[in-house]
Amino acid sequence: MIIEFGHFCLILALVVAVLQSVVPLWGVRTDNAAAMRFGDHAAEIQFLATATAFGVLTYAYVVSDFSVLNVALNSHSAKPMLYKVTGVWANHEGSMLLWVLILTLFSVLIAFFGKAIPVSMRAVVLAVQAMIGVGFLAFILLTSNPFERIPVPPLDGQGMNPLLQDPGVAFHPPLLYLGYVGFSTAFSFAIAALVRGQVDPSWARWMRPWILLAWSGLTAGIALGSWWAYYELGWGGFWFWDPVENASFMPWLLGTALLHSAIVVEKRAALLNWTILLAILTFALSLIGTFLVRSGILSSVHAFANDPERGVFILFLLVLAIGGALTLFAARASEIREGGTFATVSRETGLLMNNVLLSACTATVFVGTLFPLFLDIASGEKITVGAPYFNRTFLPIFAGVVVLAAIGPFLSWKRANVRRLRKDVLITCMITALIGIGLLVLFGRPDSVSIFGVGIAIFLGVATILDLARRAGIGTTNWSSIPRRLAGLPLSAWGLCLGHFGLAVASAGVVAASLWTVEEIQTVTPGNPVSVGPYEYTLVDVKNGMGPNYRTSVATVSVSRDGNEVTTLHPERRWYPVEQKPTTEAGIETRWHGDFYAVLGDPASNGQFVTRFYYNPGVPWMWLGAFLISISGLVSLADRRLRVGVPTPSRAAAPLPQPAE
Amino acid sequence: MRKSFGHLLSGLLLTLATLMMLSGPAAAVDGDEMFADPAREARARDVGRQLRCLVCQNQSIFDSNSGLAKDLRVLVRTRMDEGDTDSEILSYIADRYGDYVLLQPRLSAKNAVLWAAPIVALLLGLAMMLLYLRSRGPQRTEITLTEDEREAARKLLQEGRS
Amino acid sequence: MTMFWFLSIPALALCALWLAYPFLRRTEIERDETDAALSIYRDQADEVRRDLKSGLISKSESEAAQREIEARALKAARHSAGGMSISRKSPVAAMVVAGALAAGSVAGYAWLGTAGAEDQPLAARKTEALVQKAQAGDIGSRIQLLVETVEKNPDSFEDWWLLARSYAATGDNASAADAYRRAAELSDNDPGVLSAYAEAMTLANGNKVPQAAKILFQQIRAETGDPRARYYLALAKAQSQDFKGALDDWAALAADSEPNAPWMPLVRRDIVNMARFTESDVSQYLPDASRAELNKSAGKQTDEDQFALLRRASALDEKLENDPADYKGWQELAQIRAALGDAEKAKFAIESARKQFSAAPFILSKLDATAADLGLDLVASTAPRDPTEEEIAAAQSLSADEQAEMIQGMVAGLAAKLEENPDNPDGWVMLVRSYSHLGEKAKADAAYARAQEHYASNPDMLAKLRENVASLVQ
Repeated sequence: MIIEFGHFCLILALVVAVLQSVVPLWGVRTDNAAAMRFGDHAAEIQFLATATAFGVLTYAYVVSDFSVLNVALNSHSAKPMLYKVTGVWANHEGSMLLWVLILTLFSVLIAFFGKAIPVSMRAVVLAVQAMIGVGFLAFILLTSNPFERIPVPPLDGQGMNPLLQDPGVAFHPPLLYLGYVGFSTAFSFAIAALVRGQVDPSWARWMRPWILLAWSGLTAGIALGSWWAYYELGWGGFWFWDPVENASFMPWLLGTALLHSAIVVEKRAALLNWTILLAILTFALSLIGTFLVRSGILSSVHAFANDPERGVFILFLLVLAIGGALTLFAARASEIREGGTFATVSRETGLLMNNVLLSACTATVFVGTLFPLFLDIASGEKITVGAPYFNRTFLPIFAGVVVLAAIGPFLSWKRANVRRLRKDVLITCMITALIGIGLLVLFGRPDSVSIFGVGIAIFLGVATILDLARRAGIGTTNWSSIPRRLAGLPLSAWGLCLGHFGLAVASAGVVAASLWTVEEIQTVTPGNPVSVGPYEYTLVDVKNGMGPNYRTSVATVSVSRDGNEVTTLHPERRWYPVEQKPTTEAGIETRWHGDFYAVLGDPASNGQFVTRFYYNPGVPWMWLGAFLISISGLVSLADRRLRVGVPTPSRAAAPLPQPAE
Repeated sequence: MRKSFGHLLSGLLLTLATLMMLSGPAAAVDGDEMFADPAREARARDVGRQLRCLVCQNQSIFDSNSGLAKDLRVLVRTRMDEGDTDSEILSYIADRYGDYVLLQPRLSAKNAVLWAAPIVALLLGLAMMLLYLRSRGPQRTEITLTEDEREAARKLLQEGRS
Repeated sequence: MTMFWFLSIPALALCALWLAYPFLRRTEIERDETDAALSIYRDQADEVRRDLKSGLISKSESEAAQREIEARALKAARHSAGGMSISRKSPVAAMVVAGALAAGSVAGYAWLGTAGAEDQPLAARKTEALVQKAQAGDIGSRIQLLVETVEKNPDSFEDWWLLARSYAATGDNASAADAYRRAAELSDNDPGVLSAYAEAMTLANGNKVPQAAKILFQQIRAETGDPRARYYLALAKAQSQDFKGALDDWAALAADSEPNAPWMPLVRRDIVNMARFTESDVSQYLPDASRAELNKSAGKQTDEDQFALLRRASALDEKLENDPADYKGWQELAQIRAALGDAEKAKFAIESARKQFSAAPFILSKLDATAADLGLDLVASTAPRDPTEEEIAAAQSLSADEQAEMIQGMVAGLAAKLEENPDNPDGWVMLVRSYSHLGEKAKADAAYARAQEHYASNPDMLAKLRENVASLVQ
């Protein structure tokens, strides 16, 4: 009965979505206030119904109700409770339901916290959100229904891929979808702007918090996925330019561009058409990502051709959404007038340049990901586009993004002072050179790639700190006022600093990890040390044990340097009997400079074991950087000015010496 | 007796399972296939990282556990022993296994789109940016407002505050 | 089904009401958007002022920026739409919306849903699962079901009796004895039940008649002359070294029983064994003794036979040295040793095998049966015994070598089980995998062949087998 109620709620959600995509638009057209308000109510019901359906599916997983086909195929009664719950979205049907749940969550948040957005605008935004919802709810109900029942349920389920039975990957999809699906708001705002023929600074400001939220979630989701690959797949790598990874990376790149161009719209009422196009394309890439991952076309073009139902449905949605939006754009773009002007050397141009570079990055990843697919379809020829390609094409362009992120904040709005810019860049370069020479003396890695890679990371870090120092007035005012000035900075300025500094830290980490990782693979007898760079790794012993639903061999590996014990690692190999699959859990110990990383392999003859030992410098920096970037979005989001509409709080008429933000 | 039998049976299954797990997927590179000379081993890995494991998703043969990847690794080492250069090894393997094994696609006519795309995208973007910056015509950065207008605007901006 | 609609219809009604709510009252919305725009310009003006203060921009830059902001603010104010969007209360629109929602979702559900399908959480299906398994002949599930039944209704003799017999069938004689005791109480100490109880006690005691059972048997014999009581009392005599007395009692029991009574083979076997031990003439006790029985009791063979047996025994010794996982070899060896009249060596063979298979209870029970068959339990002290939890735990922390040995024993146990009951596809897969991982290619191939043979008429199973093990065998 509860299960069926969940099914009913999902159907109800679809019907509400249909109403929500029609009634508010009719209201806008006929200037009917009630019909416009209807959007808010419908968004609430749609979310409630979807959330109930999702809750019911979770319940079915928790109580192991194998009369639900989806549960029988993807769960097992012996699974730990955490993975029963996260198992809900670890399969196709459940993950699509999560997709829609997050979509409706964004709608209801807009209905709830977007009170400042004019009702007629909100009505259109919610209607567009609902149209996306109609498409995906219909997709779920018609091709991937998680509530399909089995008349005679099996006695137990078939289990879940043990690779996914891991906290890292368990929370990866919700965060990733927060970003993926969150960009639907950008899309809806863009369509609303086109429908109403109005693009202005307030539009950008209304849209901004939603993009920030989505972007932060996507950043965290990608980082979490990469972290999972790092410790679960067990060969020390963290990014493989796999199509599935690229599918989430493309919306991130373009979303980052959108985030920056929306600032120009807000400040200068410029780049209006471009920003609308970016918003449409960013969500289009999210849809393409969903299509690539969900249709199965990535694993094999032929598998897709043999069972095309789902893929064709999403492809149809994709064409409808992107095609419709671009047609509307083509029809209306010419009516939108650019507002303010700016000089060629200005913050605005810097942001535009940022957009150009990030778009080129996106195009590179796009072509690299899809070209093999097109070639396969067109000529049946199979090629691979892997890391070496992206290292040669993507990284140089992205290096430009990093450099620009350093210089950009030095530029003033509207018209930058070229002389001062030159001075700022010069100072940054000098400090960078000093640090660089210091590092060279200390570590001595005189190859050009290292110097360049580390150089731009330091350059960005130094520039970001200098920018913050300048804003704090260091050097221009007396020291006692600095704390007050820092506290007075708007949160969005802090967001900028954090984000750019995070990018610097992450870039340094990536450069270090890809250039200086030390890897040793060998068959060892317990007790015999192995040299890994300056460290010695010793496999002490291997013990067998039991987990909740797996059997495990845990090794003890001690790490020392010059005879001094540094740390002890515990890599594991697990065996999941229900799913008949092994997993590896790398033993990792994090220090500020890098990770000690050990993987336990096969036992060889005479009590020996195959082991892989790594010293991965910089990897922790990468996670720290990604964390800072993700947090920077939330910090900007917390900026008071984004809580729009809320009539500006009254303050004393007399201007304060330092206006509070 | 029944109870402990069941217990033992599950124990048996688990023990067997462990046994199978341990000899299941081999660790990516095992000790005995490696070169003793670190420089040669490093070179073997550099070459190996350019080759794709045929049955995995975008993993290089040096990062993969599959048996096929091991065969290719051994092949790389054999070719090195025969004195091939890196590019000779890569094309030797690509000739036998198809271009699919190359993680970096060749520069060829059919891959022109792929290799041209990044440069074209970048140049196109820069060109469009320049066009945009120019198309805005003469810079009219000064906005002229009468004193009355300014007064009205200030009033507007001040209104919501109190 | 009705419960489902009881839940869904009110939920639907609430949703419909909330959706229709905007149409059920007069709504007014201000069209003016100037305020929102102005608040942004206000913030921008603030920022310009702050940048000027902190020296980030010059006075003239600030002035230009200020002017642009003012121009935009003016423009926004001038373009203000003004006025109100108003809608009156509209019951018709409300009805349309609510009706569309109700019709759409009910029709949609009627098309896609199965309103009658009940929830089936696993916890509620435990009994169902057990019943299903019990019906398929799984005695463990039957026992679990019966345990639940007697917990609920502890005064049913029938259930206790069934439970006791089920326990006995699995060889869990201690539990069987407990259940029989309860059944005996409920049956007001019916002699038949008491007799079964005493027998279970004896079996649980390693086939040694305990004092309590002896008293019960004596009482039953006095009341009814129950042959089972007579048999066990004689066994008790044998176990207290009164071989002659035992032999006499069994002979008397044999004489009093129908020749085809179910207990007769057991009685005859024991008479023959006992005659061998006491070196007495079996025909004295068993007038219709067959030739084989005569030979067996004499413990003699022709020289030729004996030579062949000795050769076979030493061949087995050698073979088992190399392949100790062959439990049938051990059985045969014990049989030959006993036939050669060497009870000690026979006992040693069984004990060696027991050690080898300490982790394979199925084989242990087979070995115990052989020992009992040869009468070794009368002279030897190999009480059948379950491996304890500690032993299992100990086995799990063995060295690699010891573990490998134990695994071999387990694999052999699995093989024996499959021979007994080949209808176990997972077992076959496990066996083939085990052999191939132990490096015993030939055995793996043979096991796969046997499995294929067993499932020859079942293509699904064949496919499943192939899928799972084909890569391991030719």
